[in-house]
Amino acid sequence: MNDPDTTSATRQEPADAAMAAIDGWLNLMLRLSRLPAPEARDIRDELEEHLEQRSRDLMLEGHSEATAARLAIAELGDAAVVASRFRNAAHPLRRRRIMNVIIGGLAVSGVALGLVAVTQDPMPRLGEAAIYAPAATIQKTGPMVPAMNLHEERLSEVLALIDKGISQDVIVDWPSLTEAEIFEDSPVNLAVSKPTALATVMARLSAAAPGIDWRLTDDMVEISTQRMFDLRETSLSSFDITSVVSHVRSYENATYEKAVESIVHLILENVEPNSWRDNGGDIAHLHVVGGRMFVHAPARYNEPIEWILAQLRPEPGRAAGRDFELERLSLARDSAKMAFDRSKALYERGLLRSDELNVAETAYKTAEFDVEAHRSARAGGALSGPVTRADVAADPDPASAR
Amino acid sequence: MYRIEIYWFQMASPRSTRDAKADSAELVLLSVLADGPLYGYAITKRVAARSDGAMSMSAGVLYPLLHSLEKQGLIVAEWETIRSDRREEDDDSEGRRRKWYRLSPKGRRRLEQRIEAHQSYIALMERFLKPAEEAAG
Repeated sequence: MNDPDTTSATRQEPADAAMAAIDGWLNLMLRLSRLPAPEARDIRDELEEHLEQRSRDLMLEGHSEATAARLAIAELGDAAVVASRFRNAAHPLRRRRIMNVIIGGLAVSGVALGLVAVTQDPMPRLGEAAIYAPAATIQKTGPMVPAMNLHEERLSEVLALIDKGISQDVIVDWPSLTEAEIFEDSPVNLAVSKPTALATVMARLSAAAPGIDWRLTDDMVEISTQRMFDLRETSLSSFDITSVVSHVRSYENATYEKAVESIVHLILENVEPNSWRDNGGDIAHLHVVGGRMFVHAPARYNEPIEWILAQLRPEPGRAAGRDFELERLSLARDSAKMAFDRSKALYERGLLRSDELNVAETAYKTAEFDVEAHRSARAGGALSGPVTRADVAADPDPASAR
Repeated sequence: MYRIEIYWFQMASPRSTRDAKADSAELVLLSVLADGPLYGYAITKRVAARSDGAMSMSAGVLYPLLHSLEKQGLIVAEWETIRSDRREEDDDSEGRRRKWYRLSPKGRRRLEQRIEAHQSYIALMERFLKPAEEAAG
């Protein structure tokens, strides 16, 4: 394999890769910013020009074009964070007023901080696969809303009609909704031909106003954003993860720190990833101390977290007849394959050297060989105990067993 | 040498802290533009130069801030079409656009107010710091 930086036939690749990386970042950031097209076009031109100049300066410092582009993008930071800054910058004065109201509101209501020890039973597995699906509805169905047929009606009017049609008072948190770019004059279509549960009506409204959410108490329906409710409903929960850590440690032959890191990573990447402080969010955070995981997050996070932990807990009844070594080797092979595929993609974009790609390829082929050798040894009855790399190495011709 | 970064915090930190940091970035930016029109990348270099490299303004903070100040009418922007080296080979290329910013009269007034407020704050702080320095001496 040739190094793309030194081969004439591929000399253009780093430049293309650099432009592709810049384009990719800009596309993502502008999509997340949800700014009007003319404004987004101007920002793209301006940032493109910045990135080009910055890349050129970094190349003068001795970096390759691809690396320079990567560094310039890294300096700009996380696309979601920059998008959010642009979104907020679009309404600077309104944002300040809104922040005053939000902070005032938070001060009055306080953050619901409860200490909850979660002791739910693990969720059942479905055969070999286990699927997490949140409950179909986490809200009560709510009061019945009279039939209505509204076309391109202002959101404020729609909510006023709902208020009029039910016995509870409807309280609308316009500052939070406006912050989420859901405005009083946002046009809404709503057609319900017969009295319909508020839950259903709000689900339809949320299609037109993404992020809108609601809560029902005995005498009040509160309408705000999911973010606002998340902030208010944050609680501190504690999960016992001792058995999970020890299972992961023995299964992956990992240190305690590595096992904890894997578990935490799994949760941060799969449960509302953007909300965690470690991922640049501002809603949730977690710490592992003394075999317990403390999660400060909206209460709705507890169920998926507990489900993930349940998947990792050892199940004594299932151990018999299972080839843990084969599972471990297969997992290592799949992981090496993913790493190799990722490396190939980076290499093709000129972001990885050929020797780095070779390392990934060798790791994958070795892992694949390990799986096959283990299977062959098992099939041939040569081994009654777990098969290890040492057993395979002792076989003078492992391929002959296939 | 200490390296100072200017941030906008996204986290729900107390309003005063966040506003103080955002206000610092705004003060720096308005001060730099008071010297004359500049475009984004040149602003980052000017900030670094004027602070002898002690301060850097991240591009991820700078451009949204410029956007915000423009919306507030504190700065005024104009586009210039330029041709980059890479695009010169392409006859069909219309060239890149560069956005120049300059202080508006409203921005200049805001800067004066900010400087005055900042100097009052420094003077106030010195009243507390002086006795400590004397005691240390």
